[in-house]
Amino acid sequence: MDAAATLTEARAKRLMQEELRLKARRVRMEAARQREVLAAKERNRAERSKANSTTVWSPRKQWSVWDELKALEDKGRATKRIAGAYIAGDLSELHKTIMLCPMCKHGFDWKKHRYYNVFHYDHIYASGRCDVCRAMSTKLSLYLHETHVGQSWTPRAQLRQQRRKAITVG
Amino acid sequence: MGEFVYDLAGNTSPFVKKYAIGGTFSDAGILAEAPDAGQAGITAPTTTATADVVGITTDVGTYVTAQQTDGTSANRIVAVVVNPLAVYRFIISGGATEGTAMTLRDVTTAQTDGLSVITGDDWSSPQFDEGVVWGYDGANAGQARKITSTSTTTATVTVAFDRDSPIGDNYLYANAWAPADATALTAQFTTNLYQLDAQTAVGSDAVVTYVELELYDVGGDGRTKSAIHFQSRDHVFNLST
Repeated sequence: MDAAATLTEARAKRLMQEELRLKARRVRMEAARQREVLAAKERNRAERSKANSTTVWSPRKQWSVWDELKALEDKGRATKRIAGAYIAGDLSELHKTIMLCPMCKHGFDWKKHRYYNVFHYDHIYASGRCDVCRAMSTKLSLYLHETHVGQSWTPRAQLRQQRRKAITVG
Repeated sequence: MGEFVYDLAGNTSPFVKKYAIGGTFSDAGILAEAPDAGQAGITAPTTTATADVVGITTDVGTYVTAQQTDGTSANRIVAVVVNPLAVYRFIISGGATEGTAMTLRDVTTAQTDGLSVITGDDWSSPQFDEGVVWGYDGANAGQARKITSTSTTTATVTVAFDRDSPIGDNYLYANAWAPADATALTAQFTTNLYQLDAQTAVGSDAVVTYVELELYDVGGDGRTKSAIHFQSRDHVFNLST
């Protein structure tokens, strides 16, 4: 009976030790995972910061004005920045012009974000680079924030109606 | 406001690029210029000069140089319609302030051959020779003619207006003709760069080529709604610049 009790006690002790070892291992793994997440966040932040850093233009020899403009062109969505957050957050919050190709445009609720959809109302595509997939396209939907529509774009129906009364030269 | 309307390759669709700015663009719908040496990005033109035009903006941006504490990037971007053959439509103003109604000139001496508009105003200072005069109301409402000579009281046209002008008829005038006469290739913007100041002298300031005049008489509120379509003759994407 004593021998059996001793055996059970030893077995319980082994189980307890095993459990403690597993627990310590879980803690170590969790700590390693946390370190990895932090490192990834840091890498991401550094990349984003690099992508968004201020362009300091300095005249260079052999650079044409087109080279300068190319250097000044927007790099677009930062690496690992989620497309939805970039369009519906970064750009729309600042009332920026948005261009989306036919493959990417369905995710953007332009009415909710108070945008004027040029293709929807005026049946005019734009050419340029899609803000999500960065592909050049001649079939982009152009979205102008409604605060800028009266300034930089007259709805074509309104223009058409107005021009009926015009005296045109040319 | 200015806007892209079409280009001379026959497209009505804009080609849009997004560029870093080197000066504040507080309004959309103004022309943008390529940066000069030392400038960090595209800039707005002045009221009297446009050089190396990049295109016309469709949104706004405030130029900053320091790092921002609100999480936004200091590298501010503005979208620009960059077609090199673009034709821009600008409303014309009667003064340096946007929305100034254009000044009417009323006939003070009736004319019977349709070849002159005698108003008693000085058409030669500022000079409107080679500009346009059109009927705002009265007998010749809705007709536009090119001014071919001016004096201190009279604007003379070569092709007669269809009807005689009795005393009291009103005419409008501007410093442009389409296609642009060699002496009338320039334009002056209003202070906020939003409209064209069409009642300054012909032939000074920013280099443009007028493509079309969109004029209105009294029925179309011509004093505030008339517009000019023009192309920049100093566009950065024209290979000859």
